[in-house]
Amino acid sequence: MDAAADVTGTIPLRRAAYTDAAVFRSEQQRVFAGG
Amino acid sequence: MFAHQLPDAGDQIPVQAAGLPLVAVRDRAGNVRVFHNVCRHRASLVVPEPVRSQPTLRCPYHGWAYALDGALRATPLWDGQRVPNPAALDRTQLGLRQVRCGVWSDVVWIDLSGTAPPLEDHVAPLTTLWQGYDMTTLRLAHYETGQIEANWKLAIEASIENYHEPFVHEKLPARLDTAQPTFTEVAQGAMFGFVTPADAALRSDTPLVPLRDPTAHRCDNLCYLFPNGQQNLFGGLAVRTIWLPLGVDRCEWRTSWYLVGDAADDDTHRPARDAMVAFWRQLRVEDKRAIEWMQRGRASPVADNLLLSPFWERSIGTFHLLWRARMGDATDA
Repeated sequence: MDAAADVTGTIPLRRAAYTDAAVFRSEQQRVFAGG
Repeated sequence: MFAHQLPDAGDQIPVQAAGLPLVAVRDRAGNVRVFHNVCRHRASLVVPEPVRSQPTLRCPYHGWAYALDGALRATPLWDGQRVPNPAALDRTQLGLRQVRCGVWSDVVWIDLSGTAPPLEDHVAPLTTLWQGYDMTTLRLAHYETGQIEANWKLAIEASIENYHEPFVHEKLPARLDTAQPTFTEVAQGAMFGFVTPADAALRSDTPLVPLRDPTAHRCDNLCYLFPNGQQNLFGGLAVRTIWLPLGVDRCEWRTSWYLVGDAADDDTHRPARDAMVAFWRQLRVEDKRAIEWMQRGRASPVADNLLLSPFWERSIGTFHLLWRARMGDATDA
């Protein structure tokens, strides 16, 4: 658990969620294609 | 996309969802249908560009034509004959692949998996939150699109906190003069965002959305329906935005603005509409700049272990929780 979680109870997404093409492809499938 | 973009039967617009080529169509019964935009012959795009009032969806490569319900109707010259022998090809199983979709709040919602819960369930938290408003009075006043060189999630995060407003948007009313929040987070199911008292509202000369109960408490609403549907309601103005991921560091917004009744298109309210458009364009310019700064910052390896303000940014945390729940074990992001 990092500092943000201590303060807010939520953990901001890591930079890979915004910059990694592999994460983007997974996101397309899991978030937008539902599978 | 929005249903208003398909006003007449036979209107067809190619769209992308989850990186897949789709086409949205208004059929003869007036319903919006969505198909995979892929010809069953050689997988050419059937509708590469928007068209209006066409009787069929016609593939430009070899002329295969599909009815507005997706059924394959014509395969010209398939067997070399000017009048093809129907026995040469069984068309009955070669219709366009349909995608489950529904229209709510003028937005066309697409379910590529075909297994999502009913659309009414998905939007229920927002219909409940707004049940006091007569939304049937709203009409389209303006539509606009734009692109941002940033991940789509940063764009959404920038619009569900008002921490940045006094620093990025000088024209917005100050909401920092109290130790108590002037807003309340909302989070239920797919819905997240916040509401503020109407006295902090963006003001306009257009009529307010009527309340079903005139004594009900009016609020401004900045809400989302996960993953990418933004639904705002400010007094007499509804703003609906679809955020489309175009790449890991690029996204597009498509926004429709709605006003009450004739205010959406009459001459009397033209100055107010023009002021509204100018105001929102300025907001978008200012937001785009800030969002792109966040994306550029994330090029650095030190851009981790970031912070969310417990006062202002709880809705971003809610958004992240919904995202993580959908991503499952696909990432440790």
